[in-house]
Amino acid sequence: MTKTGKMGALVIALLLSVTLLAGGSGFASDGTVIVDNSSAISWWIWPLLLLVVTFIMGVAAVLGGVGGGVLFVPIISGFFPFHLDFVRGAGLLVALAGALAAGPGLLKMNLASLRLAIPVGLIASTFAIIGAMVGLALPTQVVQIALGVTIIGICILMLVAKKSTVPDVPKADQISSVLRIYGIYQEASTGEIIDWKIHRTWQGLLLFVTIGIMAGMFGLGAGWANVPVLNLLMGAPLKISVATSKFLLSITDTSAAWVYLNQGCVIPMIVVPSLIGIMVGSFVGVRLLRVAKPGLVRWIVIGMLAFAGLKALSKGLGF
Amino acid sequence: MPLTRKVSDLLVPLKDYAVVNENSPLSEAILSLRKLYCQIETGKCTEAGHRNILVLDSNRHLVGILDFRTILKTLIPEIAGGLSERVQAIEVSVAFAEEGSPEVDESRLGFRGRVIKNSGTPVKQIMLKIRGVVEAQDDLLTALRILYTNKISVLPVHDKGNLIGVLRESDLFLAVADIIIE
Repeated sequence: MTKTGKMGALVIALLLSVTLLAGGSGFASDGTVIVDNSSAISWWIWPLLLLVVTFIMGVAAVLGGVGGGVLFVPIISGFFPFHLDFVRGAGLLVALAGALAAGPGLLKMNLASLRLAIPVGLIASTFAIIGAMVGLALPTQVVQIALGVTIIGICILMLVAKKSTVPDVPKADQISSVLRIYGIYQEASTGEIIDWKIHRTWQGLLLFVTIGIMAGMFGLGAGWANVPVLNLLMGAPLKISVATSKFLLSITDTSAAWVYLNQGCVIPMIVVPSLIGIMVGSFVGVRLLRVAKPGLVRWIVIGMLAFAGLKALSKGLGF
Repeated sequence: MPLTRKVSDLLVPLKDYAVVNENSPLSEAILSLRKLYCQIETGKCTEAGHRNILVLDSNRHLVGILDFRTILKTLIPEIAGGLSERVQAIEVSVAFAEEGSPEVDESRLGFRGRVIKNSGTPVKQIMLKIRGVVEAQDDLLTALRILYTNKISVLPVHDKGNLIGVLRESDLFLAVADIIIE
């Protein structure tokens, strides 16, 4: 078996064991308890298991080209006996940690564009607050169904969305010119100076309303949506889009995280092992990426995500 | 007595010191410093070549300083940098990988490519702040005190508000060593 094949098998085996463990311990599927007291399993098993699962999730996220936050919420809410609110709160912090750690480096490298991030971030973070408030006000089943649908949508987006390294933008539109959203960077591999500008700014800003609401409501992070909108719709170069998207998460998710924090939905016992697991996992993933071809892992990760989406859907629908 | 001498007796005049504009790329600072440190044109290295370069603004006012450590930390952050720089460098790679675009991650360029890329960083983004200056008419003990209080190895020297040169830790060392020789 190849290295990537082994990795995929390991991920599946671990998720299967978590499913069996959660199912066998008789935890309520409505998620109203964190840990069932009648269970024979000690409480410390869960943070430990969370650490191991999130570590593998961190590796898989990097190899599969999927955000850690996107994997975290559906998988942990689907297979662990934690209430969705706690998982969403932790999910936001997981996405936020990565964004805050990468942000300064991306800004220093002149890849994340502040001029692009600020107007977009203002809209996305405002609506992330609204999304978080709505998400916490809605019945859990409704959010679970919406989460399932969103995750399946993300899987489809990952399968069909194309990328454009330097999109053709014939002319900057008026609003981007007024906001001076343009820039210049040197392509390190060729030494070429890339002069970039954007168009379809209104449409992009409107889409960020939806992205903000979804980020706040589901605690997913939003790189999966930010990059296609910035790159394909607004026409920012791929490198700038990825870097600005990551930087944007630190603005958007912070706003939503405050709402979850204020509502008591951030539990250190869930957040701490998750953060450590995902971050250490992603560090290992980056090392592996230099030697492994992640083609198969990407398919496994998307499959896993789709499965978690279906699980969220079935949980919400009460099947 | 060597230590009764004035700072002006020991300073390196500004014209002999490497300087760079704050808006210049790091590569420009490196080339200036290398030229002065090693005197490439004459083919010999000075025995106490300058290890720092002064950063000036467009009005020729001193705004910062760069040393070897800062330069290396910027060129190779993942190795020479502190924990924070190393985590940042890895997280940047994670950011590109998680978006399914590892091919545009500049850390995959290889060592040479990354050094060249990082040498384009503007000097003002990485320069160290000036932590203490000394007047040309001050005595060497005053200069020594400022150096050790602020944990620095070079002191800009001012005369009536104008930057006229630099006093280095090595100059003070030689001045103190003279006591033993005498």
